[in-house]
Amino acid sequence: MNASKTEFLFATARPSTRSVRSMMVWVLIALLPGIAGRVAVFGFGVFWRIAFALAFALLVEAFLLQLRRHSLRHFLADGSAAVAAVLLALCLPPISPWWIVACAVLAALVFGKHAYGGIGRNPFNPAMLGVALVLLCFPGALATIPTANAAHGDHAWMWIAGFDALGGVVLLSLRIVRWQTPLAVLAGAAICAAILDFTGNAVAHRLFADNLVLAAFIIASDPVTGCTTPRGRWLFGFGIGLLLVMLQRHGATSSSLPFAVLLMNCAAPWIDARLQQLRLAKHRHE
Amino acid sequence: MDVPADTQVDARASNPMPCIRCGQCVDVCPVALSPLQLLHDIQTQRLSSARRDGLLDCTECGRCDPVCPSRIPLLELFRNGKHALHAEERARAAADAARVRYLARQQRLVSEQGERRQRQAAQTTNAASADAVAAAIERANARRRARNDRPPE
Repeated sequence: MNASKTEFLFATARPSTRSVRSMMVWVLIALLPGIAGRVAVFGFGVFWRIAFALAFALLVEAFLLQLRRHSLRHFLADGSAAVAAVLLALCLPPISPWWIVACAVLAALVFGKHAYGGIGRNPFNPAMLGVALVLLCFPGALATIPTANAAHGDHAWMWIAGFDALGGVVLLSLRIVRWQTPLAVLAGAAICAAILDFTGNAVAHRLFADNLVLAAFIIASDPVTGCTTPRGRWLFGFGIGLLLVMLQRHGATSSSLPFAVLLMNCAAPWIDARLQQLRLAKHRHE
Repeated sequence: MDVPADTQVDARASNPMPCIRCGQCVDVCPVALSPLQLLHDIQTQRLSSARRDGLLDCTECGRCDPVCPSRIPLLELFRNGKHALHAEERARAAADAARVRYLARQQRLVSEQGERRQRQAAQTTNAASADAVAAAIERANARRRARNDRPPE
């Protein structure tokens, strides 16, 4: 009690050790196990696709920053474009042609990020916007590609989910990702799957399919497009899990993840505003 | 205690990144504010929104400042915002007081004028009535009688 009281009275102004760049770098590091898992399952094509997405994204980002007369050194180094590119490459079906990746990267950075004013101002997750766009625009091109589930089965996805979770735990321990969102996504998906599918096997299948674990730990936990109040994180994550499973069952596209995330992105500012009002009112009454 | 030196604050203020809404400031705020929301209000020049979102509840404890990964000088911005709000409040209070004074004076002037009119009206009606004329003639006659000690023709 004493410690907390003195801490409150004499707020220590320790310099922040974590910058936006270091947060993004940690996210990239946390993605490594998942990338390794996918390479092991799907082969080196995955790796080259990620490398291509990354290089192309940095190029596009540099061009857009130049266009908007922003400092290249200051903003290119923040790493947000790199994170978006890698997430995008991971969320597209494992074998997609390079031009689809390029289209997705362009859409993500142009319409998802810089059209709204760059880092921090985008209401939608750029990577998910890019994936959603190519899923809607090129359903034919993506439908001809054998889906990962058919080719490799649940077992492979279980391993990938495990590797993704490993990276997620690293971010949780660094408090870059707060625990409410991932837990809420998994809980929402599990509850929805349990209600809709009944059997434990089907629930497990849903939890490992469609990059759900990756979505829970990293995509839904994107701070810019998510909720900032603790209860808001719960609602936001739960909504994504719920929508994800419902769209998986009844949706028309091969992947429901981007749409679940984008829909909750729409709701996030409203959830945050309402909950923050309640939170402040409650604190004032105490 | 390690209070930030001015140079430190300046270095942080010189090159901040945009807010990425990471929520670290929300987690550390001891009075349950959402500093990132206040920041948005202040940056978009919406002081009334900042007041609604609780800017005046801010104790300026400075906890949000060091945790910000974008190095945004939150404390400084909130202090400035509070100053602006207080200045606005003082200006409004002064304007309110002036208005109250002005209205009271207007009311007083109107009522004074009314009273004066009433008095004048009373005088003129008195002067115009037949009784008053007779009484005045009577008074004048009495004065004359007293002065001349003889009856009028």
